[in-house]
Amino acid sequence: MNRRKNITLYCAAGAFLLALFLSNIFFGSVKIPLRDILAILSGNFEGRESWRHIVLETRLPQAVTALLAGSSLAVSGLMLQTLFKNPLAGPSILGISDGANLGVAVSMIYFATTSYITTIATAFAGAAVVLALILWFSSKLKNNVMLLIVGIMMGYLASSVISILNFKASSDKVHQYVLWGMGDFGNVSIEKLPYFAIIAIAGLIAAVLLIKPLNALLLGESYASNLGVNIKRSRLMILGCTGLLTATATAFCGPISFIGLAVPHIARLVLGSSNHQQLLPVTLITGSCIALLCNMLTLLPGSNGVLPLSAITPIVCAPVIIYVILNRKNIQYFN
Amino acid sequence: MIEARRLAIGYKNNILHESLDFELSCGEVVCLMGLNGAGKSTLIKTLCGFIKPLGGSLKIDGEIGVVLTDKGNAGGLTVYEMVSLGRYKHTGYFGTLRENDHKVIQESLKAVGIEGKADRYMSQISDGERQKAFIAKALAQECPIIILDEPTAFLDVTSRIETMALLRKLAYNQGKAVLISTHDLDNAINFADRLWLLSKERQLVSGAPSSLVENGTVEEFFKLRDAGTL
Repeated sequence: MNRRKNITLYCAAGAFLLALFLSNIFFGSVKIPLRDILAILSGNFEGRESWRHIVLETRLPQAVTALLAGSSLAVSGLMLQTLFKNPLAGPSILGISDGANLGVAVSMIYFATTSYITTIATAFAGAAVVLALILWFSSKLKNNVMLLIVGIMMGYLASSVISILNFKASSDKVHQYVLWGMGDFGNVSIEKLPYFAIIAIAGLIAAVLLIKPLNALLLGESYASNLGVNIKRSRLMILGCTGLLTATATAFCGPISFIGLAVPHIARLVLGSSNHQQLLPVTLITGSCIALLCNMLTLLPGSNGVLPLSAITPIVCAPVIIYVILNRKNIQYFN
Repeated sequence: MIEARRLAIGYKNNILHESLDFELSCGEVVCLMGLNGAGKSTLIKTLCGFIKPLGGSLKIDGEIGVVLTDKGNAGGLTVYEMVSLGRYKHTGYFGTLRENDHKVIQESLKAVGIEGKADRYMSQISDGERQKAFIAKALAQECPIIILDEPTAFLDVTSRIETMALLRKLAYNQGKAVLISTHDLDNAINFADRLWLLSKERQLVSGAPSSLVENGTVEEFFKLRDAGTL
């Protein structure tokens, strides 16, 4: 019976994801008739070249990017919440996104590079430094709330360094960085997309392979090590995977807050379980859905342009967190 | 199953005991008692392999299943899912349960008497039931030795007696070696085959509860506590 429920859930989630993905391709700030879009997608389009360009080289890569970035961030958040035994952990709360931001700022402003390989490498380095610091603090601080506050402080520290870098930089570089800082799934062009996709998918596969130790870690590290989990190795692998996913999503799409924090909660509430065998795949799909939804919502002004993504994700995700905190007494996984 | 000779335990700059001798055999229930700070938890952690012994020899024959005081974050798992984690070493890369695993899990749930709560969330059951679920997890590990760190600490009187009686039954029926650290003297005397009394002054004193009571060791142990010298 449980299995049937799960299959229904996966089918529903898959259908929802597909619908959102197609909506992202069908709707945009330029109106293109549905028939023409279908013709473009099937390769039989004879009309305006600009439309083909919009659909194939703007909307399609943007939708794929949102799909992958959303699941990357959501899965990172889930792994962090399990590892730190803290339902309010997430890549942006713990300062990991800010670490990646700092890495990007250094490469954009200081090295003045436009190579995305350098950008990813510096973003990953920044995320890894913050992760290592958080890990070090987590061995000192048994109290999870204190650890979150330390993470928030690290985020502020990284932001301060970014401000100082901006102060010293020339205005055009700052402008470029500020644009990136608004977050945009459209930053990834069709040429860059394969690189982004390969790294993100590799990270997601690694996350799926960590399901078993993640489940054991729900009992705490002592129990997990007694069950046969190699704690040091698992922790490194989980953090490495989180760093890679967060850094990649941040380097390509800019800082996207809240998806990593909120989506695992949505997934747990929908699924009614903390068992990662179901929770991780559901978080992955939900992350894609929420990112695609947020991307759609940036189009709200109509033909007058698009809203910055960083303005949309909190509107969608913050209420989820507030709901979860208000109802924590009645939510199983909080107790 | 466990044999320690001149075992030294503690942390790098805080050696708690320099020379402990004891053994634990299969089919017996041993209660480890001692005042706060006597080193009970450190001894348990050393036996479980969470910290390394500082010296001496420690031979452990077979694997150990543990029941700890950690609360963990398992509230969103069902009792069945939590107990199934005991099969960790027996399952493959994704932790998929096979037919035999399901059989072992069901038997473990039955042995502790919570098979009726298998589909409940861990957060929905009582403290006593949660303790039983963790004992079932230890049983599902199929280890010959079970070590429990203060399993009755947060339980009411009835659940304490139930838990101790259950552990004794498991030791006898399944031939498990069971080591329990506890502050509960009455239940320790009633249910244990042997007591280990751990104190800073006298290291580890081991014996049957009845003889330790008769020769006054228990009384001395607890009188010393009243006088505040231990």
